[in-house]
Amino acid sequence: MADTSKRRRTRADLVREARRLGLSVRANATAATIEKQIADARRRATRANARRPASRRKASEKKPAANPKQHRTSRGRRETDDSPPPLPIVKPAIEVPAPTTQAPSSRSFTAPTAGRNSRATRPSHPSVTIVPRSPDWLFAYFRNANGGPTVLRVHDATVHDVDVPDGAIHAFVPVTPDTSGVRVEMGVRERSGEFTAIARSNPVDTPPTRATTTVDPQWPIDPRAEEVHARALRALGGASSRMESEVSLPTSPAPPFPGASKRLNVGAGSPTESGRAVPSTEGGAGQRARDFFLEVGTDLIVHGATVPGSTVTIRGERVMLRTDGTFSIRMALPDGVHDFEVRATSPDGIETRVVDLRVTRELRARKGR
Amino acid sequence: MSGSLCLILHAHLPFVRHPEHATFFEETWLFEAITETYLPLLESFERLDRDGIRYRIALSVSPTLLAMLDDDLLKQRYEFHLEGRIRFASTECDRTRLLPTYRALARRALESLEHARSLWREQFAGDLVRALRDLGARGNVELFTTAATHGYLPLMLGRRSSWRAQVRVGVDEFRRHFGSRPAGFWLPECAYQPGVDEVLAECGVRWFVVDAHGLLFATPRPRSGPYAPIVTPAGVAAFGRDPESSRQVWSAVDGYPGDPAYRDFHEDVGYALPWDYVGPHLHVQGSLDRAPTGIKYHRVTGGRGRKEPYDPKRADEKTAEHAAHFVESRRVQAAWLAERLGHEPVIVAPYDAELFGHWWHEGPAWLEQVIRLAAPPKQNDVRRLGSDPVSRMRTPTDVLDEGTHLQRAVPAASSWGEGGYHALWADESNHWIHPRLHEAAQHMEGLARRHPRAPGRSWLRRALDQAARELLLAQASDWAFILHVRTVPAYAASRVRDHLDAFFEIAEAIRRGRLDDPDVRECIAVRESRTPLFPAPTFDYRVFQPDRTVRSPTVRARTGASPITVKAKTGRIL
Repeated sequence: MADTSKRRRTRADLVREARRLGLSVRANATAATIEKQIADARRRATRANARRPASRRKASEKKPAANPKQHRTSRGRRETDDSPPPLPIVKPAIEVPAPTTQAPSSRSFTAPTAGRNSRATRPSHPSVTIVPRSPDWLFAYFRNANGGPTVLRVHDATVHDVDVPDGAIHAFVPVTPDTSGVRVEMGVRERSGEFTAIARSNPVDTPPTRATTTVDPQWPIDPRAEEVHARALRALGGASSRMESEVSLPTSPAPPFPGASKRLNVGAGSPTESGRAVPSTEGGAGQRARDFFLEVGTDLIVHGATVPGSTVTIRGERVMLRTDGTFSIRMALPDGVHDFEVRATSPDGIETRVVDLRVTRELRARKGR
Repeated sequence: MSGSLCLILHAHLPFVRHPEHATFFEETWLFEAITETYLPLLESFERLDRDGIRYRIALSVSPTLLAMLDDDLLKQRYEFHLEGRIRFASTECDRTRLLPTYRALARRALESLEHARSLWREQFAGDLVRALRDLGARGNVELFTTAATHGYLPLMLGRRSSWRAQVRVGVDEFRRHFGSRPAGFWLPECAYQPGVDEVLAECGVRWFVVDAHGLLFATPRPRSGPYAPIVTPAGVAAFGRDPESSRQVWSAVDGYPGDPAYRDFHEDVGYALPWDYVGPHLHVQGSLDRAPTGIKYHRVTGGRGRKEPYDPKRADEKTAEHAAHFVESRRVQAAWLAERLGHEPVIVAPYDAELFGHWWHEGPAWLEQVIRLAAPPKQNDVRRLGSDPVSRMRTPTDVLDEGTHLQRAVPAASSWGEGGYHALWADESNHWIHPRLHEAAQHMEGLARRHPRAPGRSWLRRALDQAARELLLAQASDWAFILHVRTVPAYAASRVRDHLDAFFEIAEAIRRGRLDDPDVRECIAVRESRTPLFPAPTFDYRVFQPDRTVRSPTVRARTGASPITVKAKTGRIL
């Protein structure tokens, strides 16, 4: 445990020290109280460190940057690094969670709104909570009373650190698959490189990405059964024929019913294209080599008026007459010459008037300049 | 050699009911699902029953969906919605008078809507819950249940009280509606974490389903992979989803619904016709957003060119072809598996019910034909598919009732979502809901512990029950999902916020002893009236009471971490 100073520290020094450790300091706290708070925090951290096997501690603390995961975390998606990762890092299941420990956007760290009575608005102990979101990524959220720079130390198969920028309240943390009792400590790194934990997460188990080697002797798996497993894995991973050593998992999500809009891939429509050829736009100009398109449609409205109570037909089909004797019909108009016979018969059925209407629609598509 | 085919349908919609608005877009999810999925499926099952087909299929109906189907306001609004759709379809018949092909399609749409209206009014008298109860009683369809509000269990920090509330309320609501105990439990999104099975066992559940890798990666490795159920240490059977039959139906690339002959889901006239014409027919008054009308004239067609008009006859032929293909594939698959495993395989094919009819227009017809082909024929009947016996249809309960010896194993954490785990429900778009849900769940546990016996019908009891209801509603997996797919993210976010705000306000009122305040009482009464699901005598906030282990003082030892982290358990049971 690094002792930052042998000399007697002033209250201001202590407050600074405590803040660095993520402790909240009351305005009326005396120097002695703060000193005790700091000592407590350090004792907790020592206990947490002591629970780790010494070999692991050494490996990670000597060369924290050598850890491939941390490397990846601090550099984003490895776009410049060609060396293969020494650990079997599985690609994140989805592309979105670029580790937010780098360049957090303000959006990602600000929950849309804090609940009016949310605990987050009250002063509280520093804490860190983790949820396994996939075999190789944890979702971690934390509360560090004073916001200062934070390090997350991940205890999985190895021990590795993830730096979290100031003000962050969550991170997606890379982790080793199929590990039980994974924990994350939140802490600060001293100038000497020593890590001081100020909070410790709940333990979680990360899911496996391959079949276990544990076999129940009463249920032995013979080569024929292995064929069954291999086929099921292939079907899960789609066209890929990779075996359990490198399983990629299914691409068949539950279709999102609640999104009752047109953004679903059932039906093989493109999720972004809007409705295309409908009767109104029949004959539109539209080779869709690119996304640009033009569709032109025409609807014809035939309207008129006669004596209320009369009978009106257009092309032999009866038309609804409003009580004031007016009528209006709308129809999609395709290419061609269309003849309409509009016929009205008086309410007493004695008199009939006929109007003939001819409409021509001709639509030509041509290249613009 | 034959095998068992377990067809499973899972019907679920989140609880959406907004009496405070005259019309509400998100309520149309239910209305569309009734018209396009629930009525056609119920009709199909009735027809099969009437024809004396002996089939077996398992159908889970979520408690939130049951609550909505049972709600008078929503029933009334459905009728109003359906009338509007019928009006629009007849307008379309007029508009397409110069286009014979489209006119025939418009007439077809109108007829099917009118048919839905007669089913709704005459055949089922607007009571689909009773229709489901009758369906279950006829014995071919086994009804089962799912989590209270479809909460995503593995993202609850292993908190038993939340798991128990989701499971227990799901089971209790099933009993309230159907009068019997469900044997099966559909894990929302097939999402499993070791430990969930203990809670299922506590609630008397006999089986659940995990995705294939949940069994392929189980410990110890199950001999038959996903093709035989295993039993967890808690004594509940876990069935594995068959990836092959899933792909044939689900996949957007090589699944049946993407066939060029089928009706294209996306080609809705609501998005294409002139706004002045179609706008007044869209559901939400005053909104300038386009929305689907349910009238779709085109088939998938394939390629990027112009979509061809839908041809019902051709689609019917394809439906028959695909149904035969599905059953034949299962038969071949079962034979292949049986040869290698040395026993009859159990092929579990679960689907979201709403896939059939809503997303895949021809789905209900396909399903009915699959059942007719796969169900054991009546005596002296000629087999329809060659001389080999086809797969026998069973439900997981039937399989268990046969008393086969099951291998003991612990399924691996998994889900059927993209990637196979929980990432979709905890990503950049939706992670922010989880810390707040966890905090509320912890609060609720505290409330249930501090008030172990709130007297019935007291305001304290009402407040605690309502707080529990709000938390359950906030926990629905649908909100995270919608935030992820970005269809109506603002609505999903507002629902999470709204329920959690209400929860914390009620919790605060209880904590400060303000339940005598008329304003507080009114607030609780309003919330009760807006969320009329899980009625009180059956529903009891005490489902949230924590485990004894969590209450023990050693666990509460101060280690400096937050109470959440101290109390959380991994749920590991090995």
